[in-house]
Amino acid sequence: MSEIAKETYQTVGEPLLKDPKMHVRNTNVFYGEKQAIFDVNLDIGKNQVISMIGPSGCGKSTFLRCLNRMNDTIDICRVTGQLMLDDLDIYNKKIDVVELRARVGMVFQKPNPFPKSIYENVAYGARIHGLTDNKVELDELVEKSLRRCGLWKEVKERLDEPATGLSGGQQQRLCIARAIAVNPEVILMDEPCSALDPIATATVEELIHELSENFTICIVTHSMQQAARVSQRTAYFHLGKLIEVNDTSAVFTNPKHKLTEEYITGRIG
Amino acid sequence: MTNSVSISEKRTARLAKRHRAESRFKWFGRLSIGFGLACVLFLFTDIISKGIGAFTQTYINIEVTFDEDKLGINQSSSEKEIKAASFGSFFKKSLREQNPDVTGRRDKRALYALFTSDAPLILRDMVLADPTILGTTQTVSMIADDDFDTYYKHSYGRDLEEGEIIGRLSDFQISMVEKYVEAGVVEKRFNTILFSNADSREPELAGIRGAVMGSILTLFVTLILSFPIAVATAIYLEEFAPKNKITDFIEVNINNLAAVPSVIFGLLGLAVFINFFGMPRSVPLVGGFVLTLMTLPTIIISSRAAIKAVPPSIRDAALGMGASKVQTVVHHVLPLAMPGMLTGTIIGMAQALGETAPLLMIGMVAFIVDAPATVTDAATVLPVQIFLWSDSPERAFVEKTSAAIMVLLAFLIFMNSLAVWLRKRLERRW
Amino acid sequence: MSLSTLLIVVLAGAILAYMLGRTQSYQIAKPVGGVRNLAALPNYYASLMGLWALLPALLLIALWSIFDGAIIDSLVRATLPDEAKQLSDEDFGLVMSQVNNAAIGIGGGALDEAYQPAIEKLKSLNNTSVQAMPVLAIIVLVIGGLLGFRAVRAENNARYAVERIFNGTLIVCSTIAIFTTFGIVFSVLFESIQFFRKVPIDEFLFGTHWSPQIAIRADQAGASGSFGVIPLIVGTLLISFIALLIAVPVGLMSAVYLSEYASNRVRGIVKPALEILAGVPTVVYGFFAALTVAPAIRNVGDGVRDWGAENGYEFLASLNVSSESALAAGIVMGVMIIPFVSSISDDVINAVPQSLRDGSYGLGATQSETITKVIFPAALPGIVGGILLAASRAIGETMIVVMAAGLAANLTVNPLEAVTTVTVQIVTLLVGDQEFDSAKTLAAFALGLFLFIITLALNVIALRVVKKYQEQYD
Repeated sequence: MSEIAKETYQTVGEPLLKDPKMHVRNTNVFYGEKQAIFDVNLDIGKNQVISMIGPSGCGKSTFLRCLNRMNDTIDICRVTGQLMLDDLDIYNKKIDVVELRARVGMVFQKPNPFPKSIYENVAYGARIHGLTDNKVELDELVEKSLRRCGLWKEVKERLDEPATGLSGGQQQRLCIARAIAVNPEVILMDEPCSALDPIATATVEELIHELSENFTICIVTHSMQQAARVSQRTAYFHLGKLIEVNDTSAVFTNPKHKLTEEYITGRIG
Repeated sequence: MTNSVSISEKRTARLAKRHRAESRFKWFGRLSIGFGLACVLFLFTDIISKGIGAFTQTYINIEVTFDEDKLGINQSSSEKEIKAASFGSFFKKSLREQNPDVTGRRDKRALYALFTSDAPLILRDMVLADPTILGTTQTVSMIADDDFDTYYKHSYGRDLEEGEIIGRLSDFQISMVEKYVEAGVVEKRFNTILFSNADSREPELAGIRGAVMGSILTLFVTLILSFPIAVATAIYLEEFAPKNKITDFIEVNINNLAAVPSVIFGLLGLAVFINFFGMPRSVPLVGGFVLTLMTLPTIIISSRAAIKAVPPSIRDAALGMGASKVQTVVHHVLPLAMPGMLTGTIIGMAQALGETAPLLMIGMVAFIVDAPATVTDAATVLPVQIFLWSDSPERAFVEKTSAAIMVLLAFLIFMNSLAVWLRKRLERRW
Repeated sequence: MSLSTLLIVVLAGAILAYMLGRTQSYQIAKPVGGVRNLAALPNYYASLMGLWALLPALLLIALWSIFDGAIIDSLVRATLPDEAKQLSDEDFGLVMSQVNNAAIGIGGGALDEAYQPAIEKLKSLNNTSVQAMPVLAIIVLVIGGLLGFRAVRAENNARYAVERIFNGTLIVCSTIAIFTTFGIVFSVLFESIQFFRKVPIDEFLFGTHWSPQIAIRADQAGASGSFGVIPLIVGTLLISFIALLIAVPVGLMSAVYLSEYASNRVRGIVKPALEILAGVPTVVYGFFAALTVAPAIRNVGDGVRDWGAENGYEFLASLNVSSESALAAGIVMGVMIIPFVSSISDDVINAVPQSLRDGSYGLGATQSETITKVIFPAALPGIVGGILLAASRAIGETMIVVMAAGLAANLTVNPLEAVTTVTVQIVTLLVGDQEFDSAKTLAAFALGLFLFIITLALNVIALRVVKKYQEQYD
């Protein structure tokens, strides 16, 4: 491992932007002795969708979980380098990870609704953060969040039923509604459609597209078509290294790096 | 978005409060753990501080002249004659001669009471062992009575609570104790009586040997019955049993038996083994039967877990070689699962060793002066001995009880460490 | 010959048969061209022969030991004088035990001449039994061995037979669990039915007065004894409730802290340290409760009362803490079940999938919010099941209450007073001398039946709840 670690490389394309929402500099991630992410530099633009693609085990999910310190829940995980949200240093010991995660929300691979009612799932974030003052406001917030996820019509009659009774696609949209109810600035999505059928996937993708007007979204996906459909920029990861970043159309039509080309033409992956 | 500003303000406003709740919650957790650990610590210090004294015993070195005339025997007397000699009055007489200033019947009796009531027997055994001491003067280390012992060990009663010793020893006795101490004939020695004697009504003569022997015999019966039966059951259920109502029923039974209160097993033992089959009461054999039924579920459950942990690939490999099912199990599965089964058995045995209630029901509470030698001798076990002694009012018995508890805990710690060691040493991770 | 010597002899005989079988199988292998042409390996022939010798002999010894008493009894009974045959069951039993004593030579002379034939008969039968059993056992052993020897034939696959016996042994062993349950049910049920013949069941279940002492003289107060179980139930529940009040919060919070907050190092030290509490025998807790905790509580109570008297708090003046208070037994029992609650909670909490935790953290919830608002609700069925199991433990716990709670059946919910429990009464009624069919002794079995049903119901419900809960996240 150390051989590769010392090896320097240059990310091709345009990793850096003007006035980014988040910027990441010289970031390494270790699991115990093992290094999972090597010296990544990347900017994430405001109200943009950026997708992370790459073969399995390339570190794209690990990288995503760095952005709201979800990696803290793993004891042996260590992150170095500079990661900033606007001008907030994410890995500064003094910052409050609870507040950070309220600003950088997350949606997971497998829909993970809490075993509570649909209403309580969406209201959960608002309750813990104290976002509403009374029941009326909370009702409004829940309705607004569900509407934005296109779920309102489907569930308004059964808000008190358990969320686990929804279909997979509905559950995932509920999780997104739950995330946006906290009104985060950035939403991280870790393969949000991998457990869904094609029709549900289409709905969620549409939702991502709509949300990108108000939120900055980072999405990890193993589907290149999905990356092409939903994102403005695409980052290609390979064995823990950020190989290429560029506008999505540029990455897919004119990859500059050999590895990227091999991946999108299906020779590796 | 104006909305967004107000929302993030609200969020920040609540943060401090939420963090206070978080740290309160954490402290609650720490307190719980602290409470648990404090209980462990308190329990152990309490018992050790109460029991440590029982590991020493006070002896009084007195000069005894084995006067042939007073005893009415001489060196050529037969064993029978020596046994018939009146050592009791001889011992009292020697005490009176050594303390000529003690007059009055009450004071004299109080003086005798400072020594163990077995003193004449000890002198007799000395003569029996070596008749040539007749006619000579010997220094005899005589066991002190428990009140003397307690008073002396606890710095003359100063660290005892009011009433625990004051009132048991008279002022005269206390003055006598002080006289002996000043004469430099009182000494504390390691208490071998505790380990060499069985039960006794006299605290200074009571020991745990009978109870330890009883526990060993009972556990022996339990082990030779429960281990093979449990292993056989586990093998059958895991490897051979067809999935049907009967095996389901067996499984339900085992799981429920594991949670049946132990006192119920005592009722079973009393009704079935003693009243129905007419087995004798108070014997390790029946105790072992009852404890077997009680520990079987524990051992079966852990043995099944051990068998389950053997990967199916091993079975496939053996069966693929043309081994029969029985051969596969006996040659491959059983040896690989053995460490886990042994660990479970040791833990089951530790449970059985500490068990009291069911043994009370089958009469293992009798006061038994002789250590049992076979599984059909009347016996008691260590936990029951603890129960019996804890009822005695003498301070010395409190000490003995705590000492017996320390011995019991030492056995249990040893067994559990053995199980842990075995697991670490032999268990394979697949 | 004593039983143990006989067993050793039989075992030695079986080993001899095994070795003979082994030799014989090599013998028969020669003409057919070596061991590889036998239907089974020599070890199987040898084992088969050994088992043929061992099992019938063992069976004979077992049956003989169990039934010789009853058979001899009935034979002796026939020789008793007529007057004895007309006695009531109780007196008859007395006579039989006198005959028994006379036969082994103690307390002779208590019976008159008419009983002499019975005594002689018993003596001779006992003698025959003791001498006949070893002889018969050895004969059976030899016959069995010979039958086994005949099975050592080249074309006979001995492995099948041995494996069938192996399988049969396994099945017999696994049915012991069933027999144990039946044994428990029938022994307590049988005696309980006798008890309910003497004491009506509704008086037992709904009576509020418990004093099982039956007076020897008919004119004594409470001559018939009263068997109302309500005070015992209340006492049991009171002590169990105090125990759970301690054990549930402490056990649950320790488990939460250890699994969600503590570092690996802390967990590695603290967890085994807490588990020590589970390994301490109950009699030790009983001693601790009776000699340390109960006096301490009483001293505190007395101190509070004196302080109240000095400072004019009248209501404290009547504070009276019993030296066998329910509080002391309850607290110590609570400490005993802490590790039990904590290990169940630990399993239950760990069964909540990580994805739910991630979901909550991802929204910016703090750890305590995640635990109280997501993990606890999700784990609730499991925790409830665990508490039920703990309650069943507390209700069935015996030694702590025997040593630290009292015998007085007070109908009270005041934790500072002495109460008694179902298990205490079972032990007290059965320890010591007993006449077997007095209502007092039978009452213990009725209480046992009651205890068995309650704990069984709690366990069945709890296991079902826990199982359902675990399936939910599989």
